[in-house]
Parts: sequence; C-alpha cells; structure tokens
Amino acid sequence: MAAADSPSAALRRRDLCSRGIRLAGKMRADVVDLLDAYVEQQGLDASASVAAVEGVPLAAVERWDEQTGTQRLLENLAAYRAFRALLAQMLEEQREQLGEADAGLGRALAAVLLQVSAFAYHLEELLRLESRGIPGEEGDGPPPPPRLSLFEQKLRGLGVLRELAQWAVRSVRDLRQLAKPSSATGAAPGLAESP
Amino acid sequence: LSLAAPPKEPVLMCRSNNYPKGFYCSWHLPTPTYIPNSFNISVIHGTKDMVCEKDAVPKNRCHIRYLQLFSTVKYKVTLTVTNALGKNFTTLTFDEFAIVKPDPPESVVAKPVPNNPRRLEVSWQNPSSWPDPESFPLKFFLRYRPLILDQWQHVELSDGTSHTITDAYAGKEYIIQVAAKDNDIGTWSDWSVAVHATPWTEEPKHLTTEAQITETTSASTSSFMAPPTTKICDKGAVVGSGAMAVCWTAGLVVAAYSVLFI
Repeated sequence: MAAADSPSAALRRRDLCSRGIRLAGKMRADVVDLLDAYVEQQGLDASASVAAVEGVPLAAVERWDEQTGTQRLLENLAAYRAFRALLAQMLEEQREQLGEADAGLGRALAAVLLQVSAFAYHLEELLRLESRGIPGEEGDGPPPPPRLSLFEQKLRGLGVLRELAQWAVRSVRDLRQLAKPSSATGAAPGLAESP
Repeated sequence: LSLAAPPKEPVLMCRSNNYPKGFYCSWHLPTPTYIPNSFNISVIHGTKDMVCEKDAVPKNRCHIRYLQLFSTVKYKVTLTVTNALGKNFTTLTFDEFAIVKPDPPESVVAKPVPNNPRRLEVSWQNPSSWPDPESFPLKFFLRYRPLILDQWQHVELSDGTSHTITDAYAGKEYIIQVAAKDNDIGTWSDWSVAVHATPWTEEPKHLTTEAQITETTSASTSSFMAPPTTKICDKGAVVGSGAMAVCWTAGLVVAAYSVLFI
C-alpha cells in the first residue's frame, strides 16, 4: 500500500473524497424525500420536536473546524454504522406494522439503508488509505432498547431520519476538508479507544 | 402633533450570511412610537442561553457565534420592545440551515467576446462576507435578458465564478445579474447589482476612416472600436458593483447599427 502521504495516495484520497461527496449528496436528497413521505404516512407533524433518542448519533459538533481528518472519518464511520442498524430496525418495524400496505415507504427505507451501508464502506476505504485500522463493529452501540409503542417507534423514526439528514450534510463538509491538498489526517487517536 | 404610542409587535429577521461563523438578527418597529424604545433580545438553543452581541452600527442588530454546527435543535429568538406606554414582543424559531443566505456576488463584470456576435463573458466574485468558500462552496444563478425584452434567461452554475452566454441576440444590449447560494443548504441571495453589456459586432468597414459621429451611451458596453486618438475609456468592459460605470467613447458610431434587429 502506498504511504499515506505519497502523491498517488493523495490522488486516491481526492478521488475517494469526491465520490464520497457525491454519495453523501445523493443520500441526503433521498433522506429528505423519505423524511417527507415518512411524516405524511405516519401521520406526524413535520415541525414536531423530537428529544434526542438513545442510540441515534447526533450530527451536532463543537469546534468542527478543529477536528483532524482521522477524527472526522472515525466519527462519520461510527455514525453510519449506527444508522445502518437503526434503519434496519425501522424497516423491520415497518414491515411488521404495515405488511404490504405501504411497500413504497419500505422500498424507500431499504434504498436509503443501502446508501448508508455503501457510505460506511466508502469511509472504511478512506481509513484504509490513511493506513488507519478499521475499528471493529463488535460491541458497537448499546444493547437493543426495550420494545417501544407504535407512536414511540414513529417518533424515533422521525428522529433517526432527521439526524441522518444532518449527518449527510456534515459528511459532505467533512469530506471537503479531507480533500483539501493541505489536509492531513493528523495524529490518530489510539485505535484501541472507542471512536 | 404626533401622539406617543405603545410599541406594536416588532418585525424581527435573522440570517446567516457568513456561515459557518454565526448569524445576525435585526429588527424594527412597523410604526413609530414617537418616544424612546428599548429592545431586549434573547437567543436560546435547546436549553442553552446564547449571547447576542449588539452591533455598534446599526443599532437594531446583534450577532451570535455558532457554538455547534449541524445541530437539529432549533434556535428560538425573542425580541421584546418596551417604552413608557407599554411593551410588545415577537419570537422566531428556526434551525441552523434554514437562515443561511449569502450576500449577493460582488464585482460582476460582463464583456463582449471579440469576433463573437452572440457571446458575452460574465465573471464575478464570492461575496466578501462569506468566510470560507473553499470548504463551504457557493453555487450561482445567473439571469440575463436583452433590455428590449421582459423575459429572463436563467443558468444555474454549480462551480466557478464565470460563465459565457452563447445565445445573446447580436447587437442587443443585455442586463445581467447573479445570485449565490450555499451548495448544500439555505436560500438564494438577493440578485447582484445589474451590469449591462452588448455583444461584439463587426465594425462596418466603409465607416472606419470617415465618420466623426460621437457615441454616447450610459452604462452600456459598446462593441464599436473607437479610433485610438479619441479613446477615452476601455471599450467593452463595464463593472457593476454598487455603481454603474459610464463609458463615453468619442469615435465612430453608426446610427444604423442601433437599429434593432428582431
């Protein structure tokens, strides 16, 4: 593997970042459409405030501009892995609730889940390029929460999709920072640490 | 004689024209009270109180620095106005992305392209208030029309700060404006100051050594070549950034070429 700072690695990083930016942009557009459909079909109020839900990674960050490249990649990867699990759970709940009655929403959820999985893989590629190990997935996230009521499931779903839409925007910004020629991934936090 | 009055509900506006640094809020009263008023503004983000630092000028404005980015938690801004006869207030609630609106592009320049009667080259700069266009790139919307028509043509540009119009009507003076928007969030800026330009036209050969007609034009680009001895200003380029340049050209202008071809 080329050294992380070699010219070919720099080109590869720029290429991966560009593709990642396009992936994240498309993902965001689809999540926003899904959010609209979800709110309508679940009978929710689009302006309803949803309290932070346990297990949903928050996109909000302080001192974003001071983060190193490695921090950005690791935080993004942890987030999208969590969203992968959350969306899979939403899809399962959707199928249980509605069966075939709302196949359209189910298909849209599945499509976004696929994009989230693809983006997580893309982030892993970027981490490999930086010669960073990929954090393991075992033990990631808290144990499954107790079974929620139908309404609670709907609200959690709203929270998941809203936060995912924010993450998609943040990821575009993070990848732009990474793609800068002067960008360095910085000192990696110990990979034995949880991201 | 104006009667003093208690304040009506104030008009409050918040906007981020320098994302991701922060945002500002500005306010005014819809009708005068004719007595002194005091304004108090509070900004809450979730459960956190934020400080809105008042600007020295103008007095009815304050700005807030973002402590977090990419938050789904809304901001709540409450403005209270008080005078000797009463008080009133208004509240705005918004999320971080919704209020992002850059200032218009600056230094818009439009000029003809030599030997191309249907082209105009337009360039501009990012608004100087936008702090980091490399990390937070802007996209642009250009609109143009000949002065003689009402309908605008539109072009959206996802990168770069220049564009060549290739379908201009030959010989017609155009008006051109540009707007900007963050590539990912928020709303479009207001339109830039308008600039005028006319595509290049071929100089009529039989007039180059004879006529002594003076052309005057206000804020428009002439595509005619003035004799060097009488040239007063640069031909072709008009810069509009808060002001319209007036270009006077002493030289050859053929009245026939101002006939409109439609």
